Amino acid sequence: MSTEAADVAGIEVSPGGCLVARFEAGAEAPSLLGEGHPDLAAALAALARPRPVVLALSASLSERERRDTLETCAAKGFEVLRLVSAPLAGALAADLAAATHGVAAVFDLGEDAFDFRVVAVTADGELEVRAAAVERGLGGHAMDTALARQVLAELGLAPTPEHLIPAVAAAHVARAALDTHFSVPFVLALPEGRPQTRRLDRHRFGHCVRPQLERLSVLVHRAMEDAALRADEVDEVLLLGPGAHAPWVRAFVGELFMRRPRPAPFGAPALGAATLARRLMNGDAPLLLDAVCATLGLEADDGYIEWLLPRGAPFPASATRRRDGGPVLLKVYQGERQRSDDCRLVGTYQVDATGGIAVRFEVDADGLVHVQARSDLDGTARPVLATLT
Amino acid sequence: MSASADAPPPLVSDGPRLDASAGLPTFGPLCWHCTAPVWPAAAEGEPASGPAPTPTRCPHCDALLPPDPDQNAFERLGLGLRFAQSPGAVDAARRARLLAVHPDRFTRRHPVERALALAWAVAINDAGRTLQEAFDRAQHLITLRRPDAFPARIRDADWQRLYELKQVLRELDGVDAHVERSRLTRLVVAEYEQGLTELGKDLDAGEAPVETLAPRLAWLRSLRSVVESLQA
Repeated sequence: MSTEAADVAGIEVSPGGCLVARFEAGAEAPSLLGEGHPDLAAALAALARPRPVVLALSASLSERERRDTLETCAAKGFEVLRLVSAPLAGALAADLAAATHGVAAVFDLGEDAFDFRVVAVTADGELEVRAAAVERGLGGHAMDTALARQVLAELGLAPTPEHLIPAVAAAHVARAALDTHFSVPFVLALPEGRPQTRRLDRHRFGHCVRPQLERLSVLVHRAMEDAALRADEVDEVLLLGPGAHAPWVRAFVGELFMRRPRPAPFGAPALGAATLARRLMNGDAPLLLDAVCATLGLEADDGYIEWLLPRGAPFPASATRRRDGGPVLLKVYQGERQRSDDCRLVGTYQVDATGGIAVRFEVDADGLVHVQARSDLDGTARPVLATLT
Repeated sequence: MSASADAPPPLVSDGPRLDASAGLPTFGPLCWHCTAPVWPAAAEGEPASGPAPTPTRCPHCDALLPPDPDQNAFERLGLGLRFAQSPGAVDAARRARLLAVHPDRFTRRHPVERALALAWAVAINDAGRTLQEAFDRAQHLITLRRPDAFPARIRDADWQRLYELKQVLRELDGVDAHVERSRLTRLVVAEYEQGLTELGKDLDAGEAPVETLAPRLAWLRSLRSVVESLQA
């Protein structure tokens, strides 16, 4: 790895706000800093020298976690130039623009989330998201859990935490080993008794995770429908994330798109973030035009969702809604269902104003949601503070 | 721009990220940065030839100017004020304008310019979203003609049709009537599309009064909600 002083860096932030890898501009391999570190602040403190950074964020991070990451970086003296989604940063690292001038499917299967983007690549090297699909909780960990449950059922053991946790850990080890081997031992070390050892092959693991693969298929088809594209119209398929390395996932994606997918380089999101940071500083950055990955809505009084920005809407964008005054709690949700109970809470915003208020919801270029309210009591529009609680 | 004691600061800054809620310059005839007039004054006696397109950048110092809050979605994208627009043309116009003012183009520029770039990008994407769908485009055109056109009351004949549709929907609910549901969906979608096409033609002809156009759009909104119920 190059240790030459660089002006810019890209940082990948994994689920839970853990800093995974940092790429120096011009470096060929990532500098792993605090892998699995529970404390992002401590990991960032290791990067002593203040410098501009671009953060590539996992889809599983909540609005609060995104803001906390941004604030932590600012507190540590970093100037965050941009937040980008991991698939777009990965696409930049994989030099998608050089590979194709058409449409690419970026399939990012992490440990805790699935993030799929249909990306149009222009001749100028700009990447524009045509459609997106995100599902939290669908990733490598869900596949490990599926296998662990199956093995425990075969052994006649209940899936209690004391059985499930070591079984999931064993499945995780086996999944990694199956990347390079056709068959591996599955060693289950339970608190009581001797370790149980079984042979596990790729076919068996692939069979156990069939429900997860089918769910992936539903999400991919929905996104392709949103983009008004058929699978054979995709020019390039890019695989990202630790969950996507598994042979059964590669085979499954190949079947979906009828072409062999291209795996992105290791640490691609962090590498892409570093590339973007350098090019933003040089003033020759390609535009990464992202889109809302799940419909953004506002909870109405009856628990139903009033839609603000539809899935696939390019951002930055905004929507304005009127509300009665007084202390108002505005709950912003993300999801495709009609009731708020079935959607994911993005944030709750407190607005205190008298008279009618016009509430403006804005998704900025980084994908962060800002809420601004304006009171129009006695005909004058006055800004009212809306705080994320 | 000459460098003098009174000159505005250069349009490059290493400052921190700008809080978008900070006070931004408002749209006006003078540049917020160099205070030079951004619109050339019409020569005396020269007839006005319609509204000139508002500039994006100051012709003197190249600073990004604030977007005009009074522009409608068509003006924002440089499209003619008519219903007949292809989604491809709307998207191409949105893209072309967005590329020039995207915040990433202003990363190392003055914080005010960065915030203005964000305001431009939001305004352009919002305009694109308004004009992309034929229904929203029709609603925008009617609202431009009369801002208080909505909510509009549906015509009596349409109420009757809506009542009938709701009856059929209730009967279909709870029974396994996939074929009947698909047939009804096709029927309602065709009615919706035909209604929207005719409304669009009347909008572009410019002869029908808003009082008749708004109830027709309200009826189409009801039809659309029926389609959504059928497809749910």
